[in-house]
Amino acid sequence: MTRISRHPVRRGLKHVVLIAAALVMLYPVIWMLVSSLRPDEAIFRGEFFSLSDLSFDNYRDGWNALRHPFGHYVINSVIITGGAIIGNLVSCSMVAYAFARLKFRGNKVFFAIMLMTIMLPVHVLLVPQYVLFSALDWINTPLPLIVPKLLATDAFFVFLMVQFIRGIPRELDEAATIDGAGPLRVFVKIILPLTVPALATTAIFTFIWTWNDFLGPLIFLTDSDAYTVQLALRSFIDASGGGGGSSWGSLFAMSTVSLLPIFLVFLVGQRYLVRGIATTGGR
Amino acid sequence: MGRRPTRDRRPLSARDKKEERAGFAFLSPWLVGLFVITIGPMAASLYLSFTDYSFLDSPEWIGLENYQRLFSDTRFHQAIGVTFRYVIVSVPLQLVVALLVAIVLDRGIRGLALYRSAFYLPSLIGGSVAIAILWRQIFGADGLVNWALALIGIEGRSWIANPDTALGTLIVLNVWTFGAPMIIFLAGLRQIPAMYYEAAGVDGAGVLRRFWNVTVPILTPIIFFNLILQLIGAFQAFTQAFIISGGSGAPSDSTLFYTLYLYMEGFGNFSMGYASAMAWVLVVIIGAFTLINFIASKYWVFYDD
Amino acid sequence: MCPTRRQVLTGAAALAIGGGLASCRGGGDGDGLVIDYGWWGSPEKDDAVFAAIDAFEAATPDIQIEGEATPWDGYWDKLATMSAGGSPPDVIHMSERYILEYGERDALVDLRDLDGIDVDTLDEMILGLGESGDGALYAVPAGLNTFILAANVELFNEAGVDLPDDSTWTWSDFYEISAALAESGIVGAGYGFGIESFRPWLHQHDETMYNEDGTAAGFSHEVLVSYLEHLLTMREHGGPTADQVSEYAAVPSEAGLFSTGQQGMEWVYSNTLGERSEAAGAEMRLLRIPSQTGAAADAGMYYKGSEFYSISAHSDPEEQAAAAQFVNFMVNDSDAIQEIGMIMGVPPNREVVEEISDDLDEIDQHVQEFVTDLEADLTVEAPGPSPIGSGNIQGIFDRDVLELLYDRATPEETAEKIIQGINSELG
Repeated sequence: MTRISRHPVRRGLKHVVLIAAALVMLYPVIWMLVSSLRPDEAIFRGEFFSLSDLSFDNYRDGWNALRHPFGHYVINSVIITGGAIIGNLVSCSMVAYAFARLKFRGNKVFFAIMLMTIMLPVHVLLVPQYVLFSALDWINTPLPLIVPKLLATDAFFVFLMVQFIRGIPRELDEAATIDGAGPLRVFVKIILPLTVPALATTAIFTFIWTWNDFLGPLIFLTDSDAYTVQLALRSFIDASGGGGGSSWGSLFAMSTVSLLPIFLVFLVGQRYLVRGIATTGGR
Repeated sequence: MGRRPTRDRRPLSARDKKEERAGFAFLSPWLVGLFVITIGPMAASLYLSFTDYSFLDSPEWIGLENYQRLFSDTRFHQAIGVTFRYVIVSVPLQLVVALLVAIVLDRGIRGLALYRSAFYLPSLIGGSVAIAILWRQIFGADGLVNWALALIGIEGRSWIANPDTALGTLIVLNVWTFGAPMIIFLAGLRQIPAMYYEAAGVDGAGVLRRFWNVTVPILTPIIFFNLILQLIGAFQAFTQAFIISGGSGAPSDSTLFYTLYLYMEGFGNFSMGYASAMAWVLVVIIGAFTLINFIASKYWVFYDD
Repeated sequence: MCPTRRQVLTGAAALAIGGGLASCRGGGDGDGLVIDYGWWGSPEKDDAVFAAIDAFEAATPDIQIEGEATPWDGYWDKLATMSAGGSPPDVIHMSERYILEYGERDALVDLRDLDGIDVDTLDEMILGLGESGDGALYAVPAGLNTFILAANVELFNEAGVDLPDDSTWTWSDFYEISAALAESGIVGAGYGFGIESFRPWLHQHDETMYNEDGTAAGFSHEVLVSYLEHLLTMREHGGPTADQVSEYAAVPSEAGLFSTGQQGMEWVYSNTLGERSEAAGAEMRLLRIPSQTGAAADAGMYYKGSEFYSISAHSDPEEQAAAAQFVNFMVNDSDAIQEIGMIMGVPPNREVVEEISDDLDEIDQHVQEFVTDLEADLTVEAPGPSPIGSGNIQGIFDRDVLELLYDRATPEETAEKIIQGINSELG
């Protein structure tokens, strides 16, 4: 596993299998990509494999179809997503360190409460949350989508990092403690560098989930100027069965556009996944 | 959770006190979040579960009526059945696929970044509105699956339409978006110090033995984490079923997930009190499953602390 | 005025949330009143509505309209949440399905109580579409449509089938035509099963969907069974298979069999003909519903309000008055209708429709003429808004009729299940 297989045929075979698997996996994505290049009326009628009449019209139309150019919604999403990532990285790693390494009364009880907070379906929380945020006068600002992240309400990531920190040999921080380092120093100097893969995971997931979130922005942003990419994408579809109709070509084109940033973030971010103990050499 | 030095009853030493203060300091963002943002709405929903509440009228206290109604609600029973089938099949399946792919994509081949991204891409669009259409391109009567079956001379049917197979296509959809656990496994694999493998290599362990004796034990905290998270996620599965069934649990309630029904009752039928009761019953169900897993984890999850 | 029901969440909730005070929205910022108007839409509709808003603001400089376009997926969740928080938009775009849910819970004002709206421009029958049983006018239609049959003219030609004379045809003509279409290798006619196509059938048998108070099904077991058997007859005469029905049930109409040119006739809302015709790339025509007798007046057809305007009871009187002015403009002013056109159905104000009808494109003209001419054949009272608790009833039809089409239940069993389901939703 640590070496590249020396057998060229076996290595080639591995690639063939992987590429074939990737193609099957990606078939829907490819279908979407091709459809984004077709006129609306050909999307559901045309023969899929006839690749004639392709054009970038949907990209131009979709970009300009809504109240603002599509880039406007991308920027809105980037702001909210950026805030959420920073919030989660800072708060969740701190809290996870407390749960995983520090002794304090009620540790287990708090941990159980934390897990419980992610077991309640979000739908029944919307109304009370809306009332809360509107009492704080936060409706129609990005605050309801960012501030909770700064307060580690995404228990998922706390749990994730707790598991990773517990995988770090305890001798490492004990050695530092004996050398006179306090908890803050241990956290910054020992724990954080060794949890880079977990931090990268947190950043990637926060990015994707916030980017793809529909319900939160829907409820907390009322002004369509503040809409995020997901809200903008849904605006292409009129599911009411009423007049006006849906713009599928635009939807597919702009879905592709909105996938690009996530894909790039992932492509870059996944490098940090590989910088674990193994590559930094451990102790 | 795991092994921890048993706390004795002696008064805390100065060092312990200092550590406790540090503990709460590090915990403070979450504590603030809990009391300012999380607890209020949660308590509100618990309260509403004992009321008749329609959004527009003030909630009216009805005691346990909502909970009693669950016993006789046949659609609720259907939703429980659908959800359990979904959880039991799709969670292990997705975890196994994610782990295997993660191991293949851990290291040792060219183009790793591209492969990883390709295998992750489906997770990015798994919750998009477009998936309603895309999934029909695979499991519809004219979809990819039937095209492949026709090549070997089998006439397929509309997998997504038939009440017997519709849930299966959603399970496949969930497995298809194995990217998230895969990433977490990849990150976990990176935490395994190379020296462990070297030690095993010196002993002349084969690939499979090395997998069982080195990789899996060290990965158990991460496997456990993924298991818990997928479990919670699968019990709450909503978006994909909502989009693919058009929000109805169609065909014939065969994809009527727990939270989908909860949503239909709450928002579609203005029965937010009843929906809240359902939500808290779900918390109890998930909580029980999680607790069982935490207890069981003492026997198979190995922490380094 | 902040909502009086501000303690929406009392007890523990209110304690934790600090009284559950909802912030008031709207109100002036110095120069003139700002009115929020929320609707669901598509890019095309949003453009049209924003253009109408601009026209209103130009004509009424002291009132500003803050438009909030929300995708249909989510519109109702958001409206419910905002209403619970005491801050829905001042002008609310409504659907027939939710008028009474909101109106009877005191969330909407009786529009007749406001001076700004002139409703005398509209027919009594049209106003009835947004009226409660007690005569409170909670909503005025933004447009009219009807659930009716549509034919793909090109597929008729290809199959060598003549378009029927829809003012005299009967159900047996319908079966024959559907079967003849199917001969050419396409699907004949869809079922359109559910509340909207069941209603004409009920009217043809002198029954109604709901009882007088809207607390139970208003029809007999026998008539429902006859309707279900009629669906099975349609299946034998070129109707789609259960798999086909199920596969396309949840996809948007553009992707369905009819809109992709694989089905000769389909049940549609009249205002969607244009987009379907465009999707199929084929000429399409609306057809009256067949009757038992061969007279269109006996077919039991009715108008439906496709979309409505309502005004929030949470807004203060000054805002309500301004909102009323705006709704009046949207319904009665040709400047507004000029922009909106047929996108929400045929505008309810006759005079205004006449002013714009020459500017419509061919298919919109056909729809407009068809819907307008239809009035001569409407002999039953148009059904009012759906009763409280009826939100899931279409879902009951979808579920139980599919079981029937899969031959997993008999018409008798299906009818029993449907009636039981409806009564427990409404009861």
